[in-house]
Amino acid sequence: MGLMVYGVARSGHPVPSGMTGIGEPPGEVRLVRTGPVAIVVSSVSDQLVLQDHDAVTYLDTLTALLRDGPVLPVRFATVVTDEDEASHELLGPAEDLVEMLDEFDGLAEIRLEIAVEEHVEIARLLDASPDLRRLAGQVTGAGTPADRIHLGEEISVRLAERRDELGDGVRAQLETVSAAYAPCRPTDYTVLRQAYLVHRSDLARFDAAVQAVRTRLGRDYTVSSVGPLPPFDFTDVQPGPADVGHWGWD
Amino acid sequence: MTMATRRIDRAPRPSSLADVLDLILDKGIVIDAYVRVSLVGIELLTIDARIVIASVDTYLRFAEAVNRLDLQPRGQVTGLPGLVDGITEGGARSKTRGALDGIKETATELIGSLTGSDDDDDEAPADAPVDQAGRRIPTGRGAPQERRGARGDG
Repeated sequence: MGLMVYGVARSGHPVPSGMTGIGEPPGEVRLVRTGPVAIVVSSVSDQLVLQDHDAVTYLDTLTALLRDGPVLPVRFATVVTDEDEASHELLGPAEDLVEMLDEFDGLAEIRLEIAVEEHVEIARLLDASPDLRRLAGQVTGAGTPADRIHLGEEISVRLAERRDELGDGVRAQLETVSAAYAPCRPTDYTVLRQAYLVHRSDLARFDAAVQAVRTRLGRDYTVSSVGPLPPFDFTDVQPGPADVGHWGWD
Repeated sequence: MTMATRRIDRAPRPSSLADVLDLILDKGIVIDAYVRVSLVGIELLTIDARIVIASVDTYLRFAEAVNRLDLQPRGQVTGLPGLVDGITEGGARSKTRGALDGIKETATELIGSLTGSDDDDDEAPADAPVDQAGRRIPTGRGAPQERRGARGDG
């Protein structure tokens, strides 16, 4: 047996009775407390192999707990052998965690995605770029395959620039109704993804601001938002290049 | 594409498994524990779905999209709303027409002929996707295999 770790919460955080976690059969979700902080765990078999639906369960567990107070996600697939170990290993720097929990109290992550049809965006790009139109004319007329790849690569660079410009504009619209911003890793040239940390009391205002973005961009852009979510994009405390501010505010 | 700019409410969680993984993977607090904290086995079937390879495939797709734009006479692009205006002007149209027949190769065939010898020379573009360890995924056909290999080590 092991303990699947979901996140960190305050010791007094309520856990709905009967709430179950990952595994078959799923273990009950409970807190292992040390002083003011606790880790959210459930028992799992040693033979556990995590699959897709477990990722959903992990997310849903944290999201459900988030309703009753701050919860900081611990990286998916973290397992400890027993409660003692959990306390020692996870709650060592408890004062840091208390501080983090305080910082995130009342905040949730909202993810924003803005997608535009690829052919629409490429058409606009060409429309706005005489040099690219010229290049396209040369390449499609007499270009070698390598020329066409070069053209496509050039287009990809420009699409990424347009996506980032779009992101700047959207961020400017949403920053006033959010506590922090974090970029998300790009998944496509024509899909913009951003994360915002939003106060619960500001959710309605944030939604209205998203609606304003939707209206401004028009029908070619599909604007969707997801949340409130645990602050996944704001609790990245692993060492590494700090191209993204850990907190988004300083 | 739909006409409506209807109100779309905020969803409680990502609609696809790929988006769930995009949200949670490599995120959250990492425990600085020594040997006793472990990662259990993971078999995430959709993990590949979140990665768009910035590859020759993509570039050729973009180039083909340009082809379609330039080669479509006005009024015959009903399947591509919003595309026509301003795109078909300039010197490109007459040139591109004659080229259409010459471009029959599929993207895959092209890649096969182009990348067989110089995979290692490919450089990842500035926003190339990164794998779980944060490394840039090299462009070109070799990338998926390399990535699977790397994952197998873990």
